[in-house]
Amino acid sequence: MSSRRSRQASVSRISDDQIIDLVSKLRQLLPEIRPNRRSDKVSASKVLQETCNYIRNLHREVDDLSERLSQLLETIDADSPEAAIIRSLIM
Amino acid sequence: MHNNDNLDMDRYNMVKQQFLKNWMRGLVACNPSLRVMSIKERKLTIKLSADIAMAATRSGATIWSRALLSRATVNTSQRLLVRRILRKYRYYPKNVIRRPSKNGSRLSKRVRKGRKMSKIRFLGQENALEKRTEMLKNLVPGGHLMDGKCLIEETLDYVVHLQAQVDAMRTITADFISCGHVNK
Repeated sequence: MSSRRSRQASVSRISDDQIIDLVSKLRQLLPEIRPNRRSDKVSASKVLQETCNYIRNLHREVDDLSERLSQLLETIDADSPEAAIIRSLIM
Repeated sequence: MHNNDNLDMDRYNMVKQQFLKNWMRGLVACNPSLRVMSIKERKLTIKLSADIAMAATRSGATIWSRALLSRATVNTSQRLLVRRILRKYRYYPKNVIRRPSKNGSRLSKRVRKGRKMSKIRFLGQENALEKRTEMLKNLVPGGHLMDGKCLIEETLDYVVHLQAQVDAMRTITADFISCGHVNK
């Protein structure tokens, strides 16, 4: 019975060693998690939550920036310096 | 961590550069119509180009990038954009993981197994970890096709590329603004 459970667990859950290793890498990317916490005591659940929040924020920011850029491009004319920026970036 | 910093920064900047090139290529491809679009349409085009550009920097080496590209190829007009941006890569999104179709046997075994496993989990026994894992899977493109370890690796990769995308877009937008383009 324990072998069956562990087989199911190995597919749907992460082993502890892998958690510690990968979670530490994830923590380095996330700005919110304070660096003075002891590394092996941070719960994976908390890290996952921070990651979800972070990804959501990034998505929202991409959305806002696209909106902003779209509005800026609205009033562009062919001779303006902005058009020159676009042109220089493309070439 | 400190001796890896410079290496990571170089790689990060390279990703940003590559993203910018791809993105601009995509926007140029839409060029004549960009001007006459509504603000909302243009925003969606910009966003789509940005996402495709981000996925293209990975050249299909990750599940998230393939999922993003396959999402974009659903629509015919979007497919042209994908073709245009990926033009310089050998990789075309023919082998991307398809969305759930009625013809389930077309999916690979691994994908089917992953999906089956995630269904088994929804038996009301979820703890906080599983709930959060499920949340993460909703956020990362193609997340539901990944199992635990793969999910974390893909997330790491995806987050780095998202950061590069946001950074690059911020830079461009700031350039625009600082150029004195203030409408009011």
